[in-house]
Amino acid sequence: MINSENSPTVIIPRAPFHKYWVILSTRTQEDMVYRANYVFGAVFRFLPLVTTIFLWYAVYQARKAGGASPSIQGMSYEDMVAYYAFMYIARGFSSVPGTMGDISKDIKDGLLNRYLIKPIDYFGYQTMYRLAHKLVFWYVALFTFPPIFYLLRHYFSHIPTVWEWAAFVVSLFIAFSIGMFFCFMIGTLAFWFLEISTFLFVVMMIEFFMSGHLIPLNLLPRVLQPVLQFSPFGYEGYWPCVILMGKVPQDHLFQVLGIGFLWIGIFYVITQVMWKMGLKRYSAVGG
Amino acid sequence: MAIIEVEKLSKIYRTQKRLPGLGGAVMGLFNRQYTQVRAVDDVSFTIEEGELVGFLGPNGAGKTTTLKMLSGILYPTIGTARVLGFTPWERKNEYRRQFALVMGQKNQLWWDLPAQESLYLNKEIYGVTDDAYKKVLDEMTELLQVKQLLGIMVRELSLGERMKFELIASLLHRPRVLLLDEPTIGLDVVAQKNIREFIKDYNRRTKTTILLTSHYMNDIQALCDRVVVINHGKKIFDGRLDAVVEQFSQSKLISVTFKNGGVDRAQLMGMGEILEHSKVKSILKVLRDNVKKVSNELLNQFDVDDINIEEVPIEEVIEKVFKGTKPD
Repeated sequence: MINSENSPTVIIPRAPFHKYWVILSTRTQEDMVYRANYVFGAVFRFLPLVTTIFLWYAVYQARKAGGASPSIQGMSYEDMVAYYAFMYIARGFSSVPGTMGDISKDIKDGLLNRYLIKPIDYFGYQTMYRLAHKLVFWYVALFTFPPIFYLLRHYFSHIPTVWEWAAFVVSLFIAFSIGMFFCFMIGTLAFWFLEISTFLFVVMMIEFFMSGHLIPLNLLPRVLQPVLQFSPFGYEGYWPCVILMGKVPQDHLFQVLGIGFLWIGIFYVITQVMWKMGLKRYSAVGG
Repeated sequence: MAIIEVEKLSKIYRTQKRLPGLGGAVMGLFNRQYTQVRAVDDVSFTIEEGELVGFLGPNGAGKTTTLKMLSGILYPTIGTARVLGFTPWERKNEYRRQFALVMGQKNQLWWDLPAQESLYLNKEIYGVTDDAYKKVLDEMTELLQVKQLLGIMVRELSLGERMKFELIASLLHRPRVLLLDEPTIGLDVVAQKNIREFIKDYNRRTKTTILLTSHYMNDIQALCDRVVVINHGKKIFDGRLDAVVEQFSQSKLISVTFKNGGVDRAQLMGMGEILEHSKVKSILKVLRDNVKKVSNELLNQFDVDDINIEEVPIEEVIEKVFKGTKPD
């Protein structure tokens, strides 16, 4: 549409989603400035893995000395190390640090206003913003992860099939989606409870545990496993790992991924409802 | 058809009543009491296309709350509003592409991006073409003298510079309605003047409808022929700025300079309220109906060098209106 020089006119965007691409691109470029931050994060985040390897080595050695089975719930010591190593990949997609806090801060401090007055979807903006972080993280990780995984290569006994690779990639998409939606849901609680920082900490700890990051979910009591494994949090860590390890029978892959997409749908609906109800309560404080 | 139509708009907040002290805070955990605050109370007005209207009121009057409802940030409790034919709080993209809101106390640019990137993001969000963007950007940065600051991070700009970029960002998509909430607050005298001149010129050139809130009389006097006065959430006046004085002030000021030794204070008693007096100059506050009579008395009884009849300063009138007292 051509704008007349002195008169205001309506502009119809050429491509409605182009603005989200620009947000992603701009934010990625800006994050690239903080290279050192990402390098340190990508390298030193593996330090806990060293502790984990030693810990499970001790557990399995004690079992061996006691004459117990060399595997726990179908997982050998090598499987255990592989699980925790793959967890770094899974959490590299599902973990979106700072999102809950930023959303609640935007609501609490009235910064949400700038998004409400523009023709942009707030959730779309946040998703692109976090995706930009992920792109930079993985760009740096391309240089730091391979050496680590090369050092651990002897623990990766299973060679994934094509289907397992495909399912793994899909599961990473599910992990990111559920991670984002969950953060959005918790962040929008700020519409009702202005101060939720302590609550955020508790929620993150629960998510950390239920994603299988702390301990594989199949090691927990049998009665809890169906609940934990098929909870949305299981898709943030546990399922991508066990899919890549070949622990999920091929004929179950579709079922597992299908439930993951179902959770995305459920979270989407809950998020929409919370957002609409929350905006009605929004008092846009701050003058 | 009016560009902005507001009908019986009200916003009522339910806020917690907190008792003072630690005891009060503990009691509040078990027994919360609430009170209702009528931030905007039954306000109605219409604005035609191209008007530049001032929205005047003291702090807490309801000006910003009204603007937030017109921009769709807040839902009203009661009442309706139509801006460009849209209901603002439905937040349709077609509406959001046609208006802009600039808040003097709030930063809407991205803090952690250079100014140019922030403007570019805005360009893409609103779907402004590359040619139009370049034209508007060149024009505005030249007018506001900020071209050399485009590469600076927004958080490193001074308040005045940031405000200029906020204005540029809001005008990239050439909105038909511009809502300005205290755009000159906190700025130095020179920056205030620059912003005012820019707004006035922009309104004149583009016929953009502008609704401006401020509690700086200089902003209102420099920019607005029409003013809506709001206090305690209620509209108390809507009309020409000079009519505010006529409606709310029953007096005028007569300042008179004397010759040949001057005049004693006692000689002026009974003519009006003496606001200032020296031997050679006095300022009297006189009821409107008595101005002609008192002027004639002064001219006939004393050796007058100069006499001026003026309105009571508008600031004084507005101040008394805000305080809820009748000026005279």
